[in-house]
Amino acid sequence: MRVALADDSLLFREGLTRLLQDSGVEVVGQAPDAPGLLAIVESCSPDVAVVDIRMPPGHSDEGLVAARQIRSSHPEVGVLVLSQYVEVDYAMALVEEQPKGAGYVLKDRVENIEGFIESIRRVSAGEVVVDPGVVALLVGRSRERDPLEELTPRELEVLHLMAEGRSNQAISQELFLTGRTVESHVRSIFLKLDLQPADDDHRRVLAVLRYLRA
Amino acid sequence: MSPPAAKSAWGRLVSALDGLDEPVVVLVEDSRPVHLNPAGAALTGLDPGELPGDLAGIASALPGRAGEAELIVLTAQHLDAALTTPEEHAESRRQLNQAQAVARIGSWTADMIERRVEFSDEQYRLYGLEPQSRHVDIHTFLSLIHPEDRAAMAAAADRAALKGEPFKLEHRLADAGSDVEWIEARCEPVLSRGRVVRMVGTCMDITERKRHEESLQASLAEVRASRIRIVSAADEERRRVERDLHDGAQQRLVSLTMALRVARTQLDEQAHPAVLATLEEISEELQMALAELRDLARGIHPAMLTERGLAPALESLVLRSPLPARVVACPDRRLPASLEIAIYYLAAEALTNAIKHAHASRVTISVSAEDNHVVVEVCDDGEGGARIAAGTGLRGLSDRVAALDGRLSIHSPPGAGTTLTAELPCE
Repeated sequence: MRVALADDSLLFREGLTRLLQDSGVEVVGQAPDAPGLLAIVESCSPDVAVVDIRMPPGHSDEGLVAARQIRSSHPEVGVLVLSQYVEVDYAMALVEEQPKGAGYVLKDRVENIEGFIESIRRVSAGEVVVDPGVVALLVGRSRERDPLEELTPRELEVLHLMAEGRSNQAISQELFLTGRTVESHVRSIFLKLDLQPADDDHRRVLAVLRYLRA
Repeated sequence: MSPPAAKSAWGRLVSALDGLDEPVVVLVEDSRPVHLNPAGAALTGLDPGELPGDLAGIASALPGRAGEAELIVLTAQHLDAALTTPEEHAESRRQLNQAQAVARIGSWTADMIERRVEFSDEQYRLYGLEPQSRHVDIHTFLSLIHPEDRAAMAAAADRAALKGEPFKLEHRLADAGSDVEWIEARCEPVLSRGRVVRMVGTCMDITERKRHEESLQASLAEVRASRIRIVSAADEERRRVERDLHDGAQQRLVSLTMALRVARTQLDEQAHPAVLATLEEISEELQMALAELRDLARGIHPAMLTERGLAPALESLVLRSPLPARVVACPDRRLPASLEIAIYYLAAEALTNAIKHAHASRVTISVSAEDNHVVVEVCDDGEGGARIAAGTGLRGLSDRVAALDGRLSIHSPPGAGTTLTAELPCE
């Protein structure tokens, strides 16, 4: 797998490059800002661009803007946006705009490099990746009447993974369940939450995230 | 005035009038006839001993339509003049002028029947004219008034003359050649049988008072501006600290977690299990430090507010609230930064109070933007009994709202929840 990297901290870029390369992921280029990243994407055609959300010059959402640009000019390149804060608004903005091949994860996730590489791989495969922290925040919020209480613990686990953007197949592998069992959990969840069943994974993520956020 | 007290003077006047060939009637007070001379009695056919109660009663007794003009009407003012000796008159006038000059008050009278205006000496001086130097009427009077204040004066004078409404009006002078710039004009119309017969007025030099007021206004504006500067400097400082944490300490800690990770991969796990365990512990501690630092930075200044605006920032706030909280309304458009920050802290503080002090079970936040102001309302269903003076948090909010020229109010009856309302002006 070939990855391009953008973050304004040299220390971070070097550290991540080292960790990725040690795990057999090729880092084709690294840049301190969005224009640098776009140039690398243009010249090296990576599978995935990993980009920090806050970069110079404005230190606001340059990474998100760059991700948007890459998805529209190079649809074959996946984008994984990193953030130091878990912000539902950013996650939603990304998932709503990018039907596939995009992800939003907390920067700290690089500590678990295997998990981080798995996120890169999923984005490269066209999946949508939502940080578990975002999902935990949404699921765990205080509600006056909580429809989530009607879910069984197993269904709640499945809901978490659905909201993170996992496919049925991935969920069955993660929870050691058969495909049929996962399907029936998903149906039950949609029924209990009064949600319209969605056939593709992306629409399912959106439906679940919107439900949890409302 | 009853038939004049100075009996000898009155007697002299009556005998002088009675000797005249011209018909004369004397009126006092509200134009009550008190004397009709023999020529008048002959003209009207009325008995001087049983005069009608008013001038109309005499007028109706006049022969023919044009007859009115033949009867001379003497009023109280004429009598005053007639009953005062020229010396007395001059002396009282001199004293009046002196008093007026000291007090910088001028006076004037307008006889609405004879359409004559008289200014006192000081009145002339106040308006920058030599005393008694020229004839004045309403038009020349208006021309002395500053063009911007002229219309108001003309309208007030009209209302006084036509409807008998008194007025008090502050105005500037057209030509501020002297040190007089501002004048307070008062006017009292004198009515007789529903008609304005005379107007009397005073004008006072209020230039000094006005200058004090203006300088007071200027200092007030300066205090206001400096209050806003202090608040926005503090906001800017918090924003800077958050950014420093984000780009500095937080970033370094994330890089450190990766360095630790690299160290672990370089370690022969079989040979050094104890070192590996220590590295794992350090890594966990680091993760916790990162999380704490993140919460701290968020509390100092929510980056969402600057980057995405009020609605996402408030959503982020209620999402993390330990009790059910909802944003029921919030404009999508961006508001001025100082306003967004004030509203955010207001909501955050109210939410904290609802949890900590009110023991509420739910909170709603509503922000609605009208044409020129924003109304923020935070309601909880807790214990109530909160006061702005009581908590330093609310006091600080109140100061912040005041700095933006807004108003903060609290409705918190014991046992019936708390509603915090802020009204903030917004262009």
